[in-house]
Amino acid sequence: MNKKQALKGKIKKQAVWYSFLLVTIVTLIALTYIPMLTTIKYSFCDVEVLGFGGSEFIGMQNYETIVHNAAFLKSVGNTLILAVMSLISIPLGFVLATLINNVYWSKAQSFFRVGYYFPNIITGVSVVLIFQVVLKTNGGLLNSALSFLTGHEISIGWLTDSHYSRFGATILNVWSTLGYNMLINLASLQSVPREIYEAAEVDGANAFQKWVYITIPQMTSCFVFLFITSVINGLARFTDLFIIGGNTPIGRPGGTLQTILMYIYQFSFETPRYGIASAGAMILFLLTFIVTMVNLKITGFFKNK
Amino acid sequence: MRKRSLAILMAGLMILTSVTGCSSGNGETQGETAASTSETVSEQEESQETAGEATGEGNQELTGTLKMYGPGLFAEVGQEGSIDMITGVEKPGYQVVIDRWNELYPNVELDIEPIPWDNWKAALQTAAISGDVDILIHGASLGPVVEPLQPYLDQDTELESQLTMLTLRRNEELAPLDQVVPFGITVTLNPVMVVIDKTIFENYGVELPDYETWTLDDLMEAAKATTGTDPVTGKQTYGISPIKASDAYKNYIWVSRAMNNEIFEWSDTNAIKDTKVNFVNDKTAEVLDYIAEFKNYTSPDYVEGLDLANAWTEDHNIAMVIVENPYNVYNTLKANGLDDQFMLAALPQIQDGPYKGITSSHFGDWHMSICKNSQNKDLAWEFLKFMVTDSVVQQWILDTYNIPVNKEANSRLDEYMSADFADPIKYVIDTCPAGFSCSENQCYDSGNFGTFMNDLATVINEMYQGNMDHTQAMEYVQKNVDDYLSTLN
Repeated sequence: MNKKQALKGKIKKQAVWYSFLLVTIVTLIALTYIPMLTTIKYSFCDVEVLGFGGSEFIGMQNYETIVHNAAFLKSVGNTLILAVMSLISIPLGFVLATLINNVYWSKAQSFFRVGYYFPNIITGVSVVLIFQVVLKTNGGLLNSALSFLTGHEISIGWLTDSHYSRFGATILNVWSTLGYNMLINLASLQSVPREIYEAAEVDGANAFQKWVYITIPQMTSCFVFLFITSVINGLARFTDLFIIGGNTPIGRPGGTLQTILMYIYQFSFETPRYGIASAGAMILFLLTFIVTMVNLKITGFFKNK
Repeated sequence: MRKRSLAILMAGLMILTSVTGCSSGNGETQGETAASTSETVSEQEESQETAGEATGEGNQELTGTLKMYGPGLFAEVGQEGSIDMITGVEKPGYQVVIDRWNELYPNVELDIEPIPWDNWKAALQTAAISGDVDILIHGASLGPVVEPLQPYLDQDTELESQLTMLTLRRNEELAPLDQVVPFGITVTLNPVMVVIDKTIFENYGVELPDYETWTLDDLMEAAKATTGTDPVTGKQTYGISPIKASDAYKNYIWVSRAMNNEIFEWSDTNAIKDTKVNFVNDKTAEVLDYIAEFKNYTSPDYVEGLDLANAWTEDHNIAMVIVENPYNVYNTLKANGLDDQFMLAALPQIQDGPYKGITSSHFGDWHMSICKNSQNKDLAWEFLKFMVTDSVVQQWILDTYNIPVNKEANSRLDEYMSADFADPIKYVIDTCPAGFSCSENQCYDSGNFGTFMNDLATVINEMYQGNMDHTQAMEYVQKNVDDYLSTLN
């Protein structure tokens, strides 16, 4: 009897705990997993506008279409190129973190830490608006600075000329992510044991040698983390490029800034072919999944502890 | 002990901050807002009652709630009206429409949800899927989502004759593809026209155009002649500002129309997938080259959309600006006391084909469509008719500085603006054929050929930057159209 009561009490207690999770689980299933499964289903169907008209099963046809579509392949290329270019933010963040770490006056260090992190909290829309002025072809801040430094009139369309737009978009991206990369690098830098530096000093190592032979190797896990998260963020890049293109998903100028996500958006809403958009979404999922697996492999997630 | 005291102190401080945060100014504001809202509501109720009492002839038979959703005029003016911060121009809110509707249909409640233009297509589709919307404002481009309106128009035979245009689209299931069928009721018109700075023309000694007869060559000559250093003021001026670069395809619409570049070859099967789009041809090359030539006569800031920073002010330095909202431009000029310095012109005449001799100007519009899964379609149709026929609504549209589609109402434009502006608008309204819209016509189609519209914008901008020639541009567009057509089942 006592055992039965104890079991009842245990179930009751567990039920209370699970009830706390219930809302989250239901929300997750309803708003994430069901739409995800529906997307998988639609990627095998001929669907134009979601919820209207038929959805005939057509097997792999959407996938065949999309992998032979020049615009989609271009968007995959753009996504990867932009993701790789934005990685420059990691070494820059590291250099910045090293400089800030060497500021010994704590108030000044806090000032720089906050100052450099500040762009990270500005919304994407505002960043683009700021940079449309900074990167303006005629009389923009960057072109004016380059003209001053070179002594020649420079008028590069950083965001309007398809030859330079990826650089422009990378400058914008680096500016807004540099603070985050600096902060993560700084935290990692400050966790390097002092004893190693002291031992190196005893061995006569100078500051540069300590940086190259101690700091950088100690930072490997931090670099890997930033590399993987930056690539994943790069694969999902949308807002800033959408605004640069004049609130269109065409990747203006010249389609050079159209990422996979923008391609998916275009075929979801602008030119509704939901089946094709779903196939694009599944390919993006696959790419992100591969990157995540590589991440887990590198960070030793699968190793037996 | 010390830590404990500190923790208690901090917790106390936190609670105090949050409590004071909740109860200070905000609370008063909330209270005030609540009071003001209830006042507004009671005022509205009062005004509705007054209106009801005054007429005493509302339609009592129709009942229900009519929900509508979408971008455009309702969002622009808001429910209570708006004041332009720059020009000071006041526009009455859509409460005027609601009041009038309640007067006529006291048992039908209007639920209007205006949205901004950003991502409007995505928003409309989401709203339609929800099944909780009857009227999609500006929804005709979402073909499968909206109800074809021909059956309704057949019942109300008088209506079409009262309107300047309808919102027409191609539909392979409903009509031959060389024809268009109504999917929406246009409420306001936005003719694409040229605003001319008479002073710049005069300073350069260039004759003002006769907008009923001028040609594409005349426009280009004028642009060329007015680019340079103004001989009177000594300031740099530019000949033209075409429609903004992000919407560059709209320049293709009017130039291709002016050159009558018919690119569609409809198939006997009447299926979009079997249609041939002959984009690569000499005339397309001519159209693209014509648009690209504007580069020589526009401000270097045009591509970035910054060339109009000083437009309609004392520092205005562009001889001709192609605009999609001439009424708004007129208001800005009037507010700045510059309306006498400018005039409006229709775009150059069509040089070839069935419409030879009339203007190549076309209309943008703001329209309303009935959602396919609406449970109140007849009621929705009543509202659509109401929006384009009711005299109070037509007056409201004019008061918001928009051009009503209703012929009687738009014929009164000269009461609102000078002849330099009203006459050319009326000329375009009178001459533009009903089937010619900025979405679908014999030279262009934004709805049925995949990314055609966006691809046009891309190649025109690329040509403008000197990164493509017309051959590359035509091949780019043709390839994407062919790719898209090959995906259709």
